[in-house]
This record gives sequence, C-alpha cells and structure tokens, in this order.
Amino acid sequence: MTPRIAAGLVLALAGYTASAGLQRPFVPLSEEYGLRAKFEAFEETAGDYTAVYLGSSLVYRSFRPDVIDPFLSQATGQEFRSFNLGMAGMFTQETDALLDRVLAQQPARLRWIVVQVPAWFSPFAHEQLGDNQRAVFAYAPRQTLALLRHQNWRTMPSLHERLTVAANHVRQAVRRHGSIGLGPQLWQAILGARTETLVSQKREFLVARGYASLDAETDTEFIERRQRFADNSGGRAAYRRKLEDWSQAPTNIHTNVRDSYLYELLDSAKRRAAEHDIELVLVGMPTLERNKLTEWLSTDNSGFTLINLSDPRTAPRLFDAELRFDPHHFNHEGAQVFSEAFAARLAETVKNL
Amino acid sequence: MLFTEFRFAVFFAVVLGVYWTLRSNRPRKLWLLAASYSFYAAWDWRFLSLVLLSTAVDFLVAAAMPTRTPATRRVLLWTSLTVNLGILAVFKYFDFFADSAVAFSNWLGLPVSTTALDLILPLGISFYTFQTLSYTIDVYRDKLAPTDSPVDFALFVCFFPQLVAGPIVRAINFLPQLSAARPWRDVRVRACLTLFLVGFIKKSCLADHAAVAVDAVFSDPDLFGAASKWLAASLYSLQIYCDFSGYSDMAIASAGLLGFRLPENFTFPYLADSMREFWRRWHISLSTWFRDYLYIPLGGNRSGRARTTFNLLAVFFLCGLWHGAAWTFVLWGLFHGAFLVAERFVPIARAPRVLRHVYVVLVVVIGFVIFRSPDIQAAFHFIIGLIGVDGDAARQAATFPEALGKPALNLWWWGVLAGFTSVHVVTSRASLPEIAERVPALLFAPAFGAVVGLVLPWIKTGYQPFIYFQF
Repeated sequence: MTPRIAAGLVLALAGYTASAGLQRPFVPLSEEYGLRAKFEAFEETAGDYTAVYLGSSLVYRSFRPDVIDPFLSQATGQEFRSFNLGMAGMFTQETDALLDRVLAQQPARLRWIVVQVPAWFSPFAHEQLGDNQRAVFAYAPRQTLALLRHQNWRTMPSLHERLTVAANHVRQAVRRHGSIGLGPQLWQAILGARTETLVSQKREFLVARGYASLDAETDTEFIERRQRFADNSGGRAAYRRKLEDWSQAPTNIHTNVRDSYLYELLDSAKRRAAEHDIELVLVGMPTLERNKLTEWLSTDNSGFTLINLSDPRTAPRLFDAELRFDPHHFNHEGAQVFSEAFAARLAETVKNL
Repeated sequence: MLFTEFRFAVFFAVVLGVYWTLRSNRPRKLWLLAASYSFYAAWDWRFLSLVLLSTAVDFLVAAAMPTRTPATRRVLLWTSLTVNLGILAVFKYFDFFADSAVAFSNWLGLPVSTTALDLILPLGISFYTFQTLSYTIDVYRDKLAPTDSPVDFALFVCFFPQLVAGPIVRAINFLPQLSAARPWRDVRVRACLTLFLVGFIKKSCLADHAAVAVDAVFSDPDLFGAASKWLAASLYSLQIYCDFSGYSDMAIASAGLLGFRLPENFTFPYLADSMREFWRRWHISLSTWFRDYLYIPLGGNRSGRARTTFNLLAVFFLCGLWHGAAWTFVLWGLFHGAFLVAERFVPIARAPRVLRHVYVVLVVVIGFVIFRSPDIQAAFHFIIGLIGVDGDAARQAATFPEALGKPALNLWWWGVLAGFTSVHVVTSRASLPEIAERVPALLFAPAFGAVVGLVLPWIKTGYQPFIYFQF
C-alpha cells in the first residue's frame, strides 16, 4: 500500500467517523418492542425514582411499581418510587447498555438498580437476533473486549463459531457507529416527530411506570399462549411435571464463573453504578429453568447483593401454576404476589445494608 | 453476495488488494478468475458447472471456426446456440412453455397434464448466455478473432462485477483489455468510488425503501384508490430504475477500480422524449445486443414497413421473454414494441417536448405495471384502477395500511419522486464522477468518507436482492 493510498484511507475514515459521530447523538432508541417509548417515559420522570428494574420480559411482566412502592415506602419510612425498564427479549449486553443510559440521566434520587440474573446459557444466544435494530444499541467495544477476554471465547467449539460471533460483533458495532438503517428514526427525532404508537405506548408506560400485564395483551399470539397454558391436561400439567423435576435439573455451569463474559458485565455494571452511589441488586427470577448462576452467586462471596426468588423450595407460592400466564411469566395476580415477595426481601436487604 | 452487503466490501477489498499487489498480467487474471468463480459459488456452487460448460463450449467452438469450411462453421455456430439456448430453455423456460402448452390444450378441450421441473433459476444465466453467444457469433461473422487463451475467455464470461446482472459485455470490447497488465495510475479512483456510491444510494436508499410501498399496493391493489395506485406505479418505475442502474453503476465502478472499462448501461432513460430514444438509454447493453444480433439480421428497417413492424415486434417479444418466463413480460415487451412501431407512423417529433416526455413517462409507468403484476389479469385490473373506476371503496375506508394509506406518507413519497426527478435532470447535465475526478485527492477522501457517513443511516437493512437477479 502506497503512502498516498494509506493517507486517503485515513482521511476517508476520519471523514466518515466525523459525520457518523455528529449524527449519532440524535439517533433515538429503537421503537422495537416499545423500547423507545418506555425509555422516554422513564427519562421524562427520571428524577422521581428511587429504583429501576432492568431485565427481560420476566422483569417486565413481574415487577409492579403500584405494589412495590407503597410497601417499601411504608417499610423504610421514606418515599419509594420505582420504574420498570424490563423489556421482552432483553439480553445481558442490552441491559448493560441501558444501564449506562440510566446512569447518564444522573437521576438525583436513584438508589437501586435491580437487574435480573441472566440465564446461564450461551452468552451468544442473542446473536440470533441478527439484524434486530434494537440489538444494535447493545454492542459496545467494552462488551466485545469482555467477550474476547474470557473462557466463553476460548472454549468455543469451532473456529467457525468464533468467527461467526466475532463477525456479528463487528457488524453490529459498525451498524451502531454508523447508525446504519436508522435514517427515518434520525429524521423523525431531528424534526421532533412522534408516531401515534410511540405516543400512546409512552402514555401507558408513564401511567403504569413501565409495567404491563400479559393478561391485558390482545394479540392472537398472547391469547393462544394463555389458552395453551390454561389447558389443565396440557400446559399446566406439563408445567407441574417440570416443576417436580426442578431439583433434579442438570447444572449448566462447568467452568469458572469469574472467568466469564457475563460475570464481567455484571461486575462492571456494579462498579459503574457504585460510582453514582447506586446499589446494583441482582434478582434470581422464579423460572422453571434452574439458574445455576443465581445459585453460584448465592453461595459465593462474590460481593453482589442478591435477592434469590428462584428456588421453589423456599418460595413455593411464586411457582403456583394459578399465578402464571404461561410457563415462564406471571399473570397480573402473579405479578402482585411476586412484587410483594420482592418488596419484602428488598426491605430486609435495605435494613441490612 | 450483493454489492450492497458488508461481506462484499470485505471480499472486494481483498480482491483489489491482492490484484494490485501482483505485478504481472497472468497472475492477475488467474486471481480475478478465482475471485469470480468464488463470487458465483458463494450463491450456489452447483450452478458454476453451467458457467463452466457454457465457457468450454463457446471457447472450443470459436477456436475451431477460423480454419473450417462455411458449412462446418454453421454447424459449430448451431452447436453453440443449441447448448447455450438449450441450457437457458431448460432452466428458465421449460416450466413456462409446458404450463402454457397444457393451458392451451385444455382450452381446446384436449385435457393433458405435465410435470413441472421446478428448477432453480441459475443466477445471471440470461446475462452470461447472451455474452458468450455474442462472442461465438462475432467470431462466426469474422468480426473477432477467437482468443487462444482459455483464461482470458473464462474471465470474459465470469468477470464478477458484471457476471450476474450485466452490463452484457462484448468480447470485442473486453478481451483486448486483458492483453496487458493495467497500471494503477490509469485507474480513475475518485470517479469510480463516486460512481459506486451513486449506485449504492440508488439501490439501498431509494429502490429498497420504495419497494415497501410498491409491494404494499401491488399485493392488494383493491385496498387503494387511484392516486395511491399512480404513486405505486411511479414508485415502481423509480425502484426498478434505481435497482438496476444502481447495480450497473456499482458493476462499472468495481470493474473500473480493477482497471477495466465496462459499457454504460443507462443514460437517464426517463429524460427520453420517444420510446425509441428510451431504448437507447435503458439497459443499453441488452437493447444493442438485440439490435446487433437479432433486429439487423432480420432485416432491420430496410425491408419496408410491414417487415420493420414484424422485426420490431419480434425483437420486443423476445426482449420481454428474456426478462422472465411469464406472459406479463411478453406483454410488456410487445407493449413497448407497439409504441416503437407506432412512432414510425406518427410524427411525434412535432409535438411539444414536454408532451413527448409526458408520453414516454406514461408509457413506461403503465408498462411497468404489466411488468410488476403477477399475471395479465391483475395487470389489467391495476391499470383500470389507475383511472379510478375500480377498487373496493368499503375496504379502502376500513383499512388504511401504514405504507400508503396516510396522506402525509403519500406526500413524503411524492416528494421523493419529485426529488429523484430533479436529481435525474441535474445529474444528466453534470456527471458527478467526472466532477469528483477533478477534486484534489486530499479533499476528496474526507468528503467521500463524510458522505458515506450521511448515506449509511438511510439504507434499508436486511437482505435486499436486486430485481434483475431473477432474470
């Protein structure tokens, strides 16, 4: 490569970086799954909250601020107000990116960031999201470097798999930096335009502080899910059988947790939150899949504040089929029971801290 | 692998880097040949065998021609025609002709049934078949001496920038470019990069977004009123132009960066003021192919009006059929052919220029309705809808699809059409690549990077194949 070509490439890259960088701050969050509406609702009232909840649909459909807030206000003697930032399909890297956005708001009263303990399956499960516009926000060089540092990368079975994951990270990082495909949203944001869907979603999220019950969903997909589970001989019977097998569920952790991609992300999140005098609280969610990471965190002296609600032997009520919308999520009543249990445990934690 | 994909950028950077690192001509050609076969195999390696077969047959046939008697030469030519058109007939047209024959037979009251082959259409088959045929015919006509280099010929057939969707290159123009190593200093880098970017914008920022609105209307036209139908038909004309000319721009630019010159394929066709001129500006490499290898051999316009009419309709019948194995394409070809015939009888040159432009745009837009429709009945239904006498008012009122139902979005698309027309006019007078080539390199590089940064947010993500890949 001649010096002239090299100089041209460097200058072109500089021009690209400058123009992409100038546009980047104007790009709003993706509207997929209502992420933008939810975050804007939070952003508008960020100064009001003492706690936020981050995680997947398990968080979104379980944490009811209308139940938790009065309980904790009474228990702690101080006004407690929270917002549910859970979102369907949110994976750990996305939680990590969203946590930065929450911290960037510098919410004056925020004391607790409650994060769902990620499921200990392949940390690359989200790769299947592929070209999901929402996923683009979740890729940062910090996460890619974390991936490359740990055993998740070193122990991947094939070179092809490693290259696929690496290529995905590079592609998503390029998309993120260049706001690729986000022109219409960028334009709308610059003009201050809002779609009707965005406005109505935001209104609903403001009212319920981010929580929405699955019972209220009217899409055919949700109705069918509920019907499948409501069938006593089918869905619920299978659920009860799986629950009985819970204690025999196989362990998924064969390796050193501290040398893992997920652990580094959680540890980094804890430190970043602490810089703002905010406590990161991890919650083990009551799922049928036995979460070995939760179990590891509860026994190891890891320094994480953990509220473990994932064990049917210690919290049997949370596994009651009657409180479930489907095998994984609570119905509205179940969310109430869960929220009460969580609030009680958080109150204990607050006292101990 | 599409020109608009990230992996093409990686592929091309590697090809380009290695190509210019190699000093002598033969390794460069071998490298390009390997890259071209890899490019094609990335789609489906099995169909590489058809490319190789076509290459081998035409190379051998042409090589044998010079020393043979006229009768043997004719046999050799027919061998090439039979093999190439035979492959095309089997893979592209067999099911169409079989189905049509069965339908006709049933219509006559003679019920028969047939089994469709359901073959996958090999990518670019229509393009490389015409390319290899032109070589054999040119050698047969003594317009071109056959090449003695199988590598040169193989590269001519499968040169990756234009392998799958043209421009259809003539051996007489391409083979001489392989005779010596081309120096880097001759490459017009800024012009090529600008041309590539222009093509990329046409495809990814215009055509792919327009496709959303077009597909919404064409998938259920009854839901939409006449204005939306006009909009969709106009947008499809924009889409197909930007899609195909965008591909051609990127192909020409990619070849240019490797030091090769490919022929122009589009020169602002929507500025034509007659259909005859339109076909001098639209898919030039195909229209000139049909002119040189079919229209003129049939007698062209030198044998009286009746014969000229027949020749034109025959050429446009085949031009339509070349585009796809469906009666809509045949009708589209004949529709265009009919207007070319009519222009020989009606002195449209006397009409005001604006009217002539309007006439061309109308014919082209309505023609593309036929082209885009799934069948002839649907095409007529859509065209009737354009004059507002069809459509389902109740359903239109009940359903307002996001893509086009809302007036604001309609205005947005009309704005895109107006903007496109303005750019079409302006850039027809001042060539952007030529302007870019005159800009100092130190200024061009950051400006180019900055424009890329402005363009990328506007691309439509996901797999968006080129329309002409299906032909």
